[in-house]
Amino acid sequence: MSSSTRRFLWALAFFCTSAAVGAAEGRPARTPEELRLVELEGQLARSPIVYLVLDPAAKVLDIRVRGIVIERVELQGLELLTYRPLFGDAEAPPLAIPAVWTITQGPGDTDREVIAPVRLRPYPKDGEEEEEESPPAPTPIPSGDEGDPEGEPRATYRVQLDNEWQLYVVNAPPKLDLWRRYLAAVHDGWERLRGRQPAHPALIALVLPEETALRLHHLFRAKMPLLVGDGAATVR
Amino acid sequence: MSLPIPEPGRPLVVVPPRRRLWPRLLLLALLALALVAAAASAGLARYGGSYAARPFAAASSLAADPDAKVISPAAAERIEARLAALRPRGVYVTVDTYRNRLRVFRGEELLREAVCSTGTGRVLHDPRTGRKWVFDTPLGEHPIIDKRRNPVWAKPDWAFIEEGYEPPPPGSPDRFDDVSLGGFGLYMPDGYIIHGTLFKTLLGQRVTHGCVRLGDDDLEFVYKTVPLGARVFLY
Repeated sequence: MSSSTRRFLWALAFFCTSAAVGAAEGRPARTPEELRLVELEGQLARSPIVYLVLDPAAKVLDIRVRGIVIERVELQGLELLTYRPLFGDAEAPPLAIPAVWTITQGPGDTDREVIAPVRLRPYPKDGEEEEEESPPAPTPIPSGDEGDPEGEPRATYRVQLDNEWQLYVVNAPPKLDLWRRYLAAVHDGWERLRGRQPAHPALIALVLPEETALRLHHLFRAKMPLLVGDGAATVR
Repeated sequence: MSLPIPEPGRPLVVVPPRRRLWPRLLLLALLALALVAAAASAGLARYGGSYAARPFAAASSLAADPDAKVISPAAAERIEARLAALRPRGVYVTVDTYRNRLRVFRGEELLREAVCSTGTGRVLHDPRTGRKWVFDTPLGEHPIIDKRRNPVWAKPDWAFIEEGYEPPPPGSPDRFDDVSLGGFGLYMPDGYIIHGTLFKTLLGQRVTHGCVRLGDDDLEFVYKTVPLGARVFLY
């Protein structure tokens, strides 16, 4: 290698290093949490699925595919609801972010309308007349849904997550003053006295307008991932 | 009440009116009842519990795991570059399956917004075999893999079972329908199609078996504008 080539390579290396340092100085150093968020989203965006991104700090929920924000929902509130004795500490599953949680049961997963014909008849050939006026119609089968009697989904519902927490979608911040908590505790104590063990899963309350809640009801389905992390909506 | 006037020389004797006891007893009983109820409810409240709210706060998953490895900033930039490369270029389609709206974009520019129909979410059971079909429009990214004029619908088994008929054998002429899909069809994987409809009054509702239905004008625009390989984002 000639000396001029060597000088040129040194100059090129110096230029590239300077440019890299300059670029790095231009943006603040990233925290490990931000780096983890990028890593997790990179993994989710590899497949063509729809996933959700919850940024608790910005109170924003994104619907994304392939890293693209399809729709952004502003949360009116975000709270943790944990069951606890009236005077005492709460016991709740650990909650750590950044993380990807997965929906194990969506609110609409159990309230699908099931239809089934009573019996099947041979398909009539062209010009062939049917023996009866019309074939037996499919019969709706009650599916024990959680929606209202008219089959419309509710604007307040729960979504089961794989981390033992549940998303609790509500349209107004939960009212949990001392009097309401006292009444709830009395009711709970009465149920326990009767030998029942009411389930009190830890809840992540998302306060959303009714229309938005219904929109998300349609979207929350089993196996859908939810990326959660402070700054998740703005990290990129 | 008038008091008796004593005779002269006789002492005045005033007999107090007889006090009624039952209001006091009732009050006492009520007080006792309230005390018992308060004590019982306090006991029940102590035995039970209730939800309490606090602002969202979560520990750092990295702090909880001291051995957790984090990617380097350079690796993060590579991932971000890959994510940026995933952004659709050229023409692409989004379908909002809740509001039943199909939109055609070129980059950031919205070219067309159309009312469409998407899957009902119903489940059909086959009474003979127990098979079941879920009539959902699949969410996620799906490419356009084929485009056809005057598409013919090869009716699957569920199309007959839903109407109470036994499905004809495969290849039977009864299985082919050249009317229902309208003038154009844009095909996605797994048999999902963007096509026309005979039931235009149902546009805007979730009434299909998973396909996306459009009105004639919108379908023609989509057919002419959206190229093969374009991406459709269903959400």
